[in-house]
Amino acid sequence: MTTLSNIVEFRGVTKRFGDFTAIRDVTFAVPDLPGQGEFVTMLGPSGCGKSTVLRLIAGLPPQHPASEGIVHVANAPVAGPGADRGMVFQDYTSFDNRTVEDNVAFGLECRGVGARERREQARAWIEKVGLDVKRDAEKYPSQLSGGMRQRVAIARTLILRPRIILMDEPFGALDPSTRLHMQELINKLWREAEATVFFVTHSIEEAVYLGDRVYVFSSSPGTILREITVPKSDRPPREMLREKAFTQLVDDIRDTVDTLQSSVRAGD
Amino acid sequence: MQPSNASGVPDRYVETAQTLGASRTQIVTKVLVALALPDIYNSLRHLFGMAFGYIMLAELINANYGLGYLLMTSQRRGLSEHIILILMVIGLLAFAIDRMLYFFQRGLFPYRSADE
Repeated sequence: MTTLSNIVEFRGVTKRFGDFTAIRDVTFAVPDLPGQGEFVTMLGPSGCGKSTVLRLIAGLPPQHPASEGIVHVANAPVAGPGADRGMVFQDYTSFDNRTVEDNVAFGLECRGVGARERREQARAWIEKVGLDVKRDAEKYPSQLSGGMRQRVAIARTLILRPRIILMDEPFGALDPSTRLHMQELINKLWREAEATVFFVTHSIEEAVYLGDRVYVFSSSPGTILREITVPKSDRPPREMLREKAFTQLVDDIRDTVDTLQSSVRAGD
Repeated sequence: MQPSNASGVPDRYVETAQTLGASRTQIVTKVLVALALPDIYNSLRHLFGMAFGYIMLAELINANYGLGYLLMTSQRRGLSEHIILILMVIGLLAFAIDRMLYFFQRGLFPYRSADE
């Protein structure tokens, strides 16, 4: 192995809004693992700049461009948003004027894929995210529950086969039981998608269950305090949560996070 | 009224469309216009109600035909039962037109539980 290319690389990235510093000197690199990708979860208190990191990768203003430092995706600077970096937001952003099927097919439609092909692929993805094609394909978003809307959002993103999937607390607004189902779904789908996932959350269980590595952020100005590698989860969260080893790991990380964050507060 | 309808589409929808690879033109047509259309239609429906009132007013003041004109002539000739009839017709007409527009609204935008 000579030079390993990085799918995403941050080098000394700082973002300021006037006097407010959202993130300070964030540096990390996620290697490009062809045909498998990696699941990176970002943990931290609210307002610590985790979303800023995601939006910098996505190339969405006002966070993009960075005030200082280098943001590289696939070894090139980020110019703006694009379909190679799909994003799932916490708020429900299904297009209200489109049925579930047309929502899922939106990206293909923008690419100019023919109606028949669109329909076929959209239906396949509706199935994959656990919705019922017969019952749900013709529904409008206003007829869906929060969990179902997020399923649509996930299908709509994955259908484009992006290299990078950015998820900004996608399950934050869901009830705990729906949330567990969604975690299981994501854990299953992303392997198949072979993409690198960046997943922002403030639930440690979620971060540990889903992640290959966990970045722990400090509160503002946000910066990465520690990188923790966690084992892959191969079973549903319900089972994992009952396991001693898993809860032990979650508790360890919780302690680490608490110590790190209080020392940062004391230091400032 | 219409510009505020279009800017009322939250940024999130635009951002979502961007990360799904939509071009500028596609964002305008497939997202901004598409999502603002029901509100624009609704605004127009309300404006129509106001406009109808002004037409009646104009007919009362200076016209050679129309319901307002009939109303004034009936008043001058002292035909009070005609006046009441005309007032009822005006009310019914306004109501019927509004219902008709509302009916179209529901047909055009089935995904919106149309706001009254």
